[in-house]
Amino acid sequence: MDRDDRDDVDGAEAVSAMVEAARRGSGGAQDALYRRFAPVVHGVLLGYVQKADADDLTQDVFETALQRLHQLREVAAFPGWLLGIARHAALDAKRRRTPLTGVAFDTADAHATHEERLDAQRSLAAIRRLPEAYRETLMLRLVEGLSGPEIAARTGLAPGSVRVNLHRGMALLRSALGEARTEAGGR
Amino acid sequence: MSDHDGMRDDDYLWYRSGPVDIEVARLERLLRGHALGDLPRRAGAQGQPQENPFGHGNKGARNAAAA
Repeated sequence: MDRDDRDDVDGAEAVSAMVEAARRGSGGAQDALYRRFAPVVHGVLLGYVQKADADDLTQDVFETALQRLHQLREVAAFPGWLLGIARHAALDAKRRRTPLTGVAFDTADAHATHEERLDAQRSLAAIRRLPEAYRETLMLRLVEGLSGPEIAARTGLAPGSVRVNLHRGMALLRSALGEARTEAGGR
Repeated sequence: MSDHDGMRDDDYLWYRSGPVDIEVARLERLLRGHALGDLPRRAGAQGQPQENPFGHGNKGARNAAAA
């Protein structure tokens, strides 16, 4: 068993214990679940909605999950179950709100230059156009700052699947950004 | 070249350490630094656990302002 596998097992056991405790009403366990999974939920939401909405929806997703925690049959399935709630909330919000263009909606750092903001928005828009599996793993890696093993442990996906998604998603993203630069340079 | 051949060069993308992939690092800097993903930093910056773990963000303030 290599280091990544060991981390996954330890993480999965700890999460199952947290979920059991949260079911019993432990505020500490609920807080621990939030701290561990908020970046993953936030990253998934960002694939669908604007940043301010993703911030708010992250709270909504956890509130919903806590209310429904008794419905979860297998505590080990918590990561995938939670992300299912997040995707449902994001799609619901997306239906009710202005469609995303990926430009000028997300809050940018006040210290960023205009060109950096545009570049960030273009990159974000390109990630949002990728198929779901690639979009989510790249959001978690590039925006939320999780490593591949962390993404696997916190989404419930197999490490091999995450690595393939990262690799193929990054290849598609490089291609999309290269095309965008070519188009911009040709104008 | 197959995906597996290419993945040997993806250690930085996978581990966030080792020889840096310049394009991945550029995107990390842009997207983490300038655009997005500040929820974990904001939660961590508060320094201590909160009684209500879902109290992050400014949804309540925004709703109050709207009312």
